[in-house]
Amino acid sequence: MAENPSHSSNPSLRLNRRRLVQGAAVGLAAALPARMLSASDRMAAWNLWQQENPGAAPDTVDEYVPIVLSATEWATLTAVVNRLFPKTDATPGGAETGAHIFIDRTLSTVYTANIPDYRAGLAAIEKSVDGGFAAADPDMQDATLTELEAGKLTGAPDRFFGTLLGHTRQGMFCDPIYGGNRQFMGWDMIGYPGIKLVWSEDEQAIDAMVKPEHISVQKYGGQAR
Amino acid sequence: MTDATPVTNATPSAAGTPVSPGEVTKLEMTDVVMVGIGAAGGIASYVLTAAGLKVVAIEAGPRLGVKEFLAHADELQSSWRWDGEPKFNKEMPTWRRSPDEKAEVYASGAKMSNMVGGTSVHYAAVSYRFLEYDFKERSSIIERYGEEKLPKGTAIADWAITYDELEPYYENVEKLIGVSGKGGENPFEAPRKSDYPLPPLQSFGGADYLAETMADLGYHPYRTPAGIISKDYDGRPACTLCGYCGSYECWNNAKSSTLVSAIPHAEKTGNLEIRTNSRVFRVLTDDSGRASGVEYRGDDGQMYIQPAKLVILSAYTFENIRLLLLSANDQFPSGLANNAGQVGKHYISHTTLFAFGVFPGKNFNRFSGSRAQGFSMDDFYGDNFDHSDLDFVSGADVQTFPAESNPIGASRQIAPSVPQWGSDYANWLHENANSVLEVEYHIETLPYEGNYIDLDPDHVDEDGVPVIRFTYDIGENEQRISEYVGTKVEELLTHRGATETWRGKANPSPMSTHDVGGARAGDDPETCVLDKHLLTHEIPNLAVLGGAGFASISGHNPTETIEAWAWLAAEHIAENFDSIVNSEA
Repeated sequence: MAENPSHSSNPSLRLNRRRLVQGAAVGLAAALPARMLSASDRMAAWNLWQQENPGAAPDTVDEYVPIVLSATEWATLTAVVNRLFPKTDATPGGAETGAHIFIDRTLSTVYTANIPDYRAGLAAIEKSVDGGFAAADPDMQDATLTELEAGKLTGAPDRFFGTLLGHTRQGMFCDPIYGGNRQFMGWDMIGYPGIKLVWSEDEQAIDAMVKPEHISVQKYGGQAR
Repeated sequence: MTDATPVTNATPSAAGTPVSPGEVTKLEMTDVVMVGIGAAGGIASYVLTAAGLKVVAIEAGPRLGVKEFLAHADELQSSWRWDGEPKFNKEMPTWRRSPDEKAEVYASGAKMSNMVGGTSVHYAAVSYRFLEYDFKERSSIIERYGEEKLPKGTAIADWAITYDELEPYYENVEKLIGVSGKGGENPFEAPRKSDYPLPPLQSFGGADYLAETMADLGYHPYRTPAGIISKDYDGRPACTLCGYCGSYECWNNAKSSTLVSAIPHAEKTGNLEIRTNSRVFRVLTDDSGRASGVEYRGDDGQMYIQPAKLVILSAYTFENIRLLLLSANDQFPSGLANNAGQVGKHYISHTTLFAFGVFPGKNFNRFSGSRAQGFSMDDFYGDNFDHSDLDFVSGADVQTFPAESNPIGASRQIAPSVPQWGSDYANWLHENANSVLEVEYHIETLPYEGNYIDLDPDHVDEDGVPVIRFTYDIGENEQRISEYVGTKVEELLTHRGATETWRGKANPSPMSTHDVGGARAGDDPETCVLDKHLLTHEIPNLAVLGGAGFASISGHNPTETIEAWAWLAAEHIAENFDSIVNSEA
């Protein structure tokens, strides 16, 4: 499992991660692998994890256990968000920002109506490349996404690209309580300093530099829905 | 409710009031029952209770306050999902462009708010008066250009009232709720007897930047009046420009919603009772053809009748129309106040457009502030420019709108030369997301004979009640305004130094949050539903407050005019209460 060195060293987060799986597995055989938990147990685990971890996203993306999507769908979506928002010298990748975590989590809450389109769409994307989309090289992946954007990818629901891109953008730039915009990477990317309740006239002047404060609505009682 | 008398169920209306057989509790008579307490109802409640009338307001939504509002500083929820409005979301209207089409559910993204204070709680708080032209659009056009200049099919008409009649009520509203601005800066503004009670909001760099260019080009920028207090006022603290304003609820009560201005004052009189989470299904009438009260489901799930001497519909524009139509009975088979078939006619909605320019290297801190913090210009509004050689009438207002962008929204505001995804997109966003300036313009959409709202015969909400159906399209005139003003706005941005500009296309946009008409006010009962005091011609003790009485939409945001007219109407009702409630139907 690829670790993010700057965060795996935090012992309390590591502990909480163990508690997540243990807490969710209450009533089940203690050593069940996380992927065998029911969706509602995984949701409960996620909620517990969130309560215990202000800032809301797992310390490494690899630790996230999808709630709605299958392992294959998850791999496809991971690759997709990394092409919609590729990691560049200046910008974070879609997956490290947690855009796919946002999507999976939200499919279990507000976007349940989109689940069939995601299943069909991700399947169409995955099989568009011999050997699978997730394992393909970036040029091949981009060719598939271009086809999808043009509405020409066989098997993909109408307008699925728009949904996918819209949700990926939401995942990149939403408040971190939703599981995306991990560690405020999305907000830092575009120069949004985080919730800042008071702006002076000097701070609203052109070219005034305002330091990122990384304040989530969680500080003010906001909750993910 | 302790003295309530159980009565047998009233007859369900043909339109499908979901009253199951069972008991409906008839409550004690009150002077006025009001359906919905938002912008219009909030103002009216202030005027009526101050005059000593007992008012019961039945509100579909909850009552929330700053604690909830601060927790809603969340773009995803408040701007993109709007999942805080269950009533509205579950009763979503349908739309078709013409009567030949089948209407489909239309989730426009517009955000009508069901709560005490209504949409004034989360409006962008741009608080203009209308221009004199707006009250006499038809006659002004004919006088200057002749009748042949009127676009085909338009149902354009002058208003039931003049600006001069409304002026004192604009002043009352501005003082009561707290509006910040500077009178006299706009050479096109209608005469005002006094200045705004508060100075303009603090300066925003990006807006000043555009205003300089407006002036360079010979236009006339003025500080946009804001229904937001720039200084402490009436026990409320001044705005801090947090960037969560339009689409959001104000966490420190600086936005001048009726929730924090008119309504608390009305409650202090002891004459206002608000019942929240309660849905009105219909207005009742008595044998004499007068309104006798409303039937509603309370927050306990039980059905009630609230009898009243006078009934005010002060829900949203099209919910008022819906209730008139849903209240059809034997005496009023086509719906209340609809014997002339005019209810729902002449509906108008703003087509609101945005133009953008990117200024690479500039940092505008556009994630802060308020939409109402900036400049407007009326140079392309109404007849403020010569239309002799133009193939359209009227125009659009123009507002700088560089502030209060939110991150998800900014990620969608992409120059046309940039791809929608991939590394070029990501890098462009990184470089330019804070370097974009935005200008908003509201097309003065005309009313057309073919545009109307009625009950959808095929779609019902979860209570089994038909939803509103829009039959609505815009005309060539609106397309031409949009092209003309849009071009001017892009020129403005280019002149300022934008390296690339772009703008939206003019589409019909029913349910825009600026929805007016549908119960036009005027002197003739054959063509108008309401009189100038917003009482229905047909039922003397039934009033419809809000935008439904407007005969034209203007280029400006409608809320302050809605509030001013509600004040005028409520004052008339209060001063003539006995004669109104005793008059013959």
